[in-house]
Amino acid sequence: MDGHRDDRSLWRAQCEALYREHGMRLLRVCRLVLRNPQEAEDVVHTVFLKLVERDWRADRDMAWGRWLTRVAINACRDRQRAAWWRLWDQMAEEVELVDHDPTPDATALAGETRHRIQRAFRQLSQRQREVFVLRHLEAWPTQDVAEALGLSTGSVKRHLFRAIVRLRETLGEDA
Amino acid sequence: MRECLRDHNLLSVYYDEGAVEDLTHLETCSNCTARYRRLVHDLELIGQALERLPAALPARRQDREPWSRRVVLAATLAAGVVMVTSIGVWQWRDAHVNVQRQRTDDENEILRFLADASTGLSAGGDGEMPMLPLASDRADRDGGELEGQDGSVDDMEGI
Repeated sequence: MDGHRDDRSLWRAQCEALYREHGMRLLRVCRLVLRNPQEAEDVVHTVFLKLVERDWRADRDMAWGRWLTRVAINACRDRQRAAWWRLWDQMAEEVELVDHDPTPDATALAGETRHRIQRAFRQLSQRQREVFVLRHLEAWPTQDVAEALGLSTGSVKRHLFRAIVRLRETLGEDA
Repeated sequence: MRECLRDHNLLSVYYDEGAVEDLTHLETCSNCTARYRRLVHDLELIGQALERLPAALPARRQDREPWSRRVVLAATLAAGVVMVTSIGVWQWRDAHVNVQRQRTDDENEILRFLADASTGLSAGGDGEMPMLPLASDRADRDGGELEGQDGSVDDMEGI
């Protein structure tokens, strides 16, 4: 009994460590996919609740970072499938993403250009956003992205290409 | 010389999925090299813009005016419902009043007809008989006396 309790405590400690390591990254992923900060936070909380409730003993060798991302993406898609969400999301106001602590690299990127890129990203389709986040920002292999999203590798490449073309067009306005 | 690489080929090279011949061409073509560098630069800017998000809710959210687009939309919808309802009530009242006015017009017409008929029927109120002339009329015109005006039976028979 005490051994089981110790295992649970150990697991909870491990969950906390995973939260510290992946929480911000997952929050960024969800905010990019959902375009809504509150919904993104809800999804992240839901994901880590699922992690805590999981039977950790069966997945000792799990790549938890990849698992968390996949669960987060699925949770985001579940939210977006709801009709009320689609309607509400269309009316959602654009949220200005403000960088509280700009790094030197970030300051090099002009504020207006950054806003233009973020605005263009929000206007991408859901699938394009998901593919770009997983393939480019999370650096998942194309095959893994295809499996996570239920697409073929060719579809992943097409969505990625179109997303990048759209985003590069905003940069082209500076020329 | 092989013609230059297309954009999706350059993208494949960027993601380490390019074909060997594409890599070889990139090493020898200055045009494709310049395009590839531009692609790398653009993707770096895009990644910077999207990777650095605030830890919490954006600061501007607290300063945002309370009249968000959703609130305005909800208020507009509510105003539209009130307007449609008001128009419907107004049209119903208008139709109801028109029905009554129409009856009044009909009644007025009937009343006018009755008045005209009454006028025609009551035109002999001053002693004149409008239609058939009587013997007394003829006597008046001729200036003579009526037979039997002295009260004799014959007068009575003359009547």
